[in-house]
Amino acid sequence: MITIRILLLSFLTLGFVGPARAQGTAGNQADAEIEKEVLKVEHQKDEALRNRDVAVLDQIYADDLAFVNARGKVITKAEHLDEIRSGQINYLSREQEDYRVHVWGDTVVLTGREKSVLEYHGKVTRLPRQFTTVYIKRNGKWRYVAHQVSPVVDQ
Amino acid sequence: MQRILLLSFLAFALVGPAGTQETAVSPAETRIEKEVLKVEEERDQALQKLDLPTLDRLQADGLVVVTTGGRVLDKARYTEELRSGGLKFLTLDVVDRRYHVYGDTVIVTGRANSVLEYHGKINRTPRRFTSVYIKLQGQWRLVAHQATLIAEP
Repeated sequence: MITIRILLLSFLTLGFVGPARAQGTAGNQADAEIEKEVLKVEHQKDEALRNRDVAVLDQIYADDLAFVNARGKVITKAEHLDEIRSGQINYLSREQEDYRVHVWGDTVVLTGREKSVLEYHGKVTRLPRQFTTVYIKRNGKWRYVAHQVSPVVDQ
Repeated sequence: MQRILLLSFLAFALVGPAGTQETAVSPAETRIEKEVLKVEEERDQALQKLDLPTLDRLQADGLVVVTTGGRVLDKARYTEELRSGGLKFLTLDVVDRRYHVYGDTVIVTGRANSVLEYHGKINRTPRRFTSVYIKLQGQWRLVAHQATLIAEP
């Protein structure tokens, strides 16, 4: 039912260092294709965040996006897009790695580590963050429906 | 599609539902929310009682958990944390659950005011969480969970 694979990716180079399997489950061709599709959307989303391209983000984000930021605050899609548009969130550099892709049919759970440097309401933060992102295929398109971030303090 | 259920786990009382937006909730979605809430409550009780067989049933083999410290645990490592006493739930209090129903996938966000002990250290800081449930072979199972400490305003 599930395929779990770890893709060690450097966002900066967009190069595959993996894939490696997280557990013993063998991935089939369909799941491998889904991984590619979702990671393509994930990269488009990250590029849009860097460029503050709100129009692209609006297409990728589901309207009822569930977003929990690194301070444990729930924010809506509109609030999140407004923070980006206004520059309250400003990515100074963006680097994500250690993607782990869990394919559950038309639902994909993606975990990874973000080492981006960002400015949040005027304060620069460099602390690595671990995230979980959920994509769901709706009307033929992968939509970003949930995202949560936690600062990495335990190793 | 989305609505908020304000729940006190301790009282098992439904204080909501209240809609965050003007979106209407279908009877099917209401039924799914109730089913998932029941599983959540069962899982919360199992966490407190350290009922590992129940947790094994309610958590998918491909479960991924991200802790408040940013550690990534698979089902085996998470279960071992519980079994060994590295992670103990001393009290459980979950409120402000919000459900996002997408057919056989449900995303729940909420606030946990529970007190827990993590490797000998008591943690009373409230946490915000996201849980992802998927219906597999007729049973809602937790496939992903992440918690983040709620920072002071």
